[in-house]
Amino acid sequence: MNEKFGNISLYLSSILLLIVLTIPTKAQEQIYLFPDRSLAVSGDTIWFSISVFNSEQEEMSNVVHVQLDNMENTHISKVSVLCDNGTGTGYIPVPDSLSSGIYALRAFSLIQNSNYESEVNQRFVTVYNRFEEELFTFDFPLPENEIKYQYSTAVHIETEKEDYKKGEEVVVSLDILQDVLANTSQVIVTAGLEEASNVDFATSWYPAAHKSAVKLPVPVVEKNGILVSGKVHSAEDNQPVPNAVVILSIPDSIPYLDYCVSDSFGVFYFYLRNAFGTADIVLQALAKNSMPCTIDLFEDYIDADRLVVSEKMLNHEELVFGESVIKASYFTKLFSGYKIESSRSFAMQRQFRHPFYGEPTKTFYPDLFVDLPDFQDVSREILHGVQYRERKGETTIRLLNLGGDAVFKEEPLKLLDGIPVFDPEVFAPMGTDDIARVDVVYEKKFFGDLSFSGILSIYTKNRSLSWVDVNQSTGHFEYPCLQMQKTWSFKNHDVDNTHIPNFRRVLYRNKFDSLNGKKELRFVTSDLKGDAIIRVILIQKDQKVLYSQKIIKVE
Amino acid sequence: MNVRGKIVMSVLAVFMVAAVSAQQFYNSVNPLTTASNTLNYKLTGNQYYFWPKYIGSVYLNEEWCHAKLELENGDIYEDVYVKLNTYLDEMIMYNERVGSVISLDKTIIHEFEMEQGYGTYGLFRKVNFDRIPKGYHYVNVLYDGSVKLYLWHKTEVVKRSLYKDEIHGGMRDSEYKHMLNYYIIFPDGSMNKVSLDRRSFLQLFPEQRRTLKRLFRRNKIHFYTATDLVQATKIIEEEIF
Repeated sequence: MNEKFGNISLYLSSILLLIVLTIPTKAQEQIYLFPDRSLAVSGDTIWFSISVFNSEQEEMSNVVHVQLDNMENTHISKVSVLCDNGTGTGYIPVPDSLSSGIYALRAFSLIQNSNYESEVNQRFVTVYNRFEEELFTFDFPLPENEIKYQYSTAVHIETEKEDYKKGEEVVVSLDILQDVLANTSQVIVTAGLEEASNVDFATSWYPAAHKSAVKLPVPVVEKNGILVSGKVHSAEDNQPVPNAVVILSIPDSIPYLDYCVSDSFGVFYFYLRNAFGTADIVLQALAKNSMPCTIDLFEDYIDADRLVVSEKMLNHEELVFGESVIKASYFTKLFSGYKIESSRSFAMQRQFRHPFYGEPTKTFYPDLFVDLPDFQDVSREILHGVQYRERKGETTIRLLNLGGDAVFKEEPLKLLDGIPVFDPEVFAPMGTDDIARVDVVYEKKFFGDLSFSGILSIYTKNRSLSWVDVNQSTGHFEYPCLQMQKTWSFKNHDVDNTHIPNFRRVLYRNKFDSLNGKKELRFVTSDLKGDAIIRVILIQKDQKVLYSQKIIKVE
Repeated sequence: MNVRGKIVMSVLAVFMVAAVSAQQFYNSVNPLTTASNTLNYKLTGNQYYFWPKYIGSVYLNEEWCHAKLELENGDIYEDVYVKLNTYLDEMIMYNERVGSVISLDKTIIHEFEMEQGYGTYGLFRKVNFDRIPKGYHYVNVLYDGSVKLYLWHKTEVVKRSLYKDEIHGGMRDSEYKHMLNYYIIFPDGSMNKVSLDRRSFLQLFPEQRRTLKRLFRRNKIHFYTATDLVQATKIIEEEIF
């Protein structure tokens, strides 16, 4: 009996195992992050490379989010980087006010952030604050979770000598074995000054476990775009507002507009494609009975488990090194000045030739006519087919309906610099001096499931969004979209002006998608003394990361 | 109920639905639901107002046909119901959720596959004509190799004998007539009009006239149907380009 029962259970368990093995597993995305330094001074910019792996190319994201967190998991900043063919480069500024300590750089895709089981790539960076005079202890992550890159003997790094003077050219010969290169998708070469305790950070990564996965409002793999999501609350009782129509607009010469209906939890989402830089986003929520609402945007940071750290006293060498890089940073700022990145620039690739309302039936340029002081006069004298009336304290606008040979009975969609206007009185003080252009559509227009009884779109000369901020149920956000693409600005060669001190800590950085085995590289040492490490990282097609390094002395 | 009565009733019904459902941002009576949400660029268009004046049809398909649309930015709408108005050369869409008939903006459409009976789909593409009638037109892609064969369905108003207009009343002397215009596109993008006869093809290649004649004969291409034109295009693609 027992034997029979045992046979049946064995039979059943083997069937179960077979089923489990044959169930297709969802392709996991794996992202690797390679910062150019493992030590930074507040005010620095950390450049990084990214490699994305996914067995299902179709499902692979090409947008990677990189965030900077402190050891208590407080989010400092985040950037979204566009990758091409599984690789990308980006940069993250280290705020000037950041305290000295160890910080984590975490790279993830939206899919990873929504998947509880995904393994997030985490790298550590030591940050020295320029204004902190005394450094004693840092909270270091325990090395238990560390995954070291594999040291490879297949990469030979040769230099002419071992000791170099300040400002001297270093010629590096790289020789990588062909069979290793054949399986390599990317080679990253970095040379820079490093302190011994930071070497581990530069040659290993730490998988970060998810604390809580983000629930996506819609299944989307970010490709050339980012998901913008948020929630609509009632302004009265803070309850989520379902079925509210949320309108997103971005003012521009060809304005962008989209809408989304909030779900039962008040959640809405938009997908902004090919939007680079910081967008001036205006969100307006329209709910039942004109209920006043508030709009919150989700930040979509990844929440990792709190790190286990141990306090470590800095030794003499580390203290001296820390003080020297702080001094070097001070002098660099003194001689080169501050280079503040312009975070306000924005560019969005136009998807179509015309705005969302199509080709206007007519475009007026009031500037070409006589000076008229207000919109009533402008509409009466210049804007034919636009009926603007102020009666008994109420302002109405109606447009000619070419389809019905009459005037529409309903208000048209009114836009001011591309943003929907619900109170026509906003236009009242506008005269010919204020208006650059007026587009009018004299037809019933559809945009998805919305319809408009004509469209009146006014573009002002002085594009100010000040009127937007005073409105209820409206939110004005400066939203970081995809990072503006920039090339690395490392001066790999001699610096022309020898009178200005050169305190660069990263001396060389380059990424190669293909190498034919041998390569000669040149860079110039800076005025900082110490050990400079020339490190070659090979990212293998099978997701293995190999490295090799050589230390030279700068005296 | 006579024919005129039926038409008036159906037009009224369409407009009644439109009045209830179509809305500017928010309609408390019939609010939009999350079914209106999409990550795609929203389909844009104008209210469709066309009233046929003459007998004959202006549509390629009388019934609403299932179609898959591809927009210029690559977005795809899998499940829309359309008609092709070959008189206006416009694509008409029925938006079920708002109960409206919309003439889609041609600027956003790249191409569409439209059901043409019993699960077969025809590919239509927006093409810029460099000749009269200049501008963008929807053409049926019959062959899509390095050499392409397009069929432009065009309805025109042609004169005919007087007849009584049963719908609008009065007498009319014109009707809608469906014309088929074939164009062969060479790899350099040049567009040449061809017709259902061998001569129009041979004229395009005076130097290879003899070879083509032989190949057409050998492949039993009689230029009776569009299928014959497709075969002829394939031969031109293989032998000449």
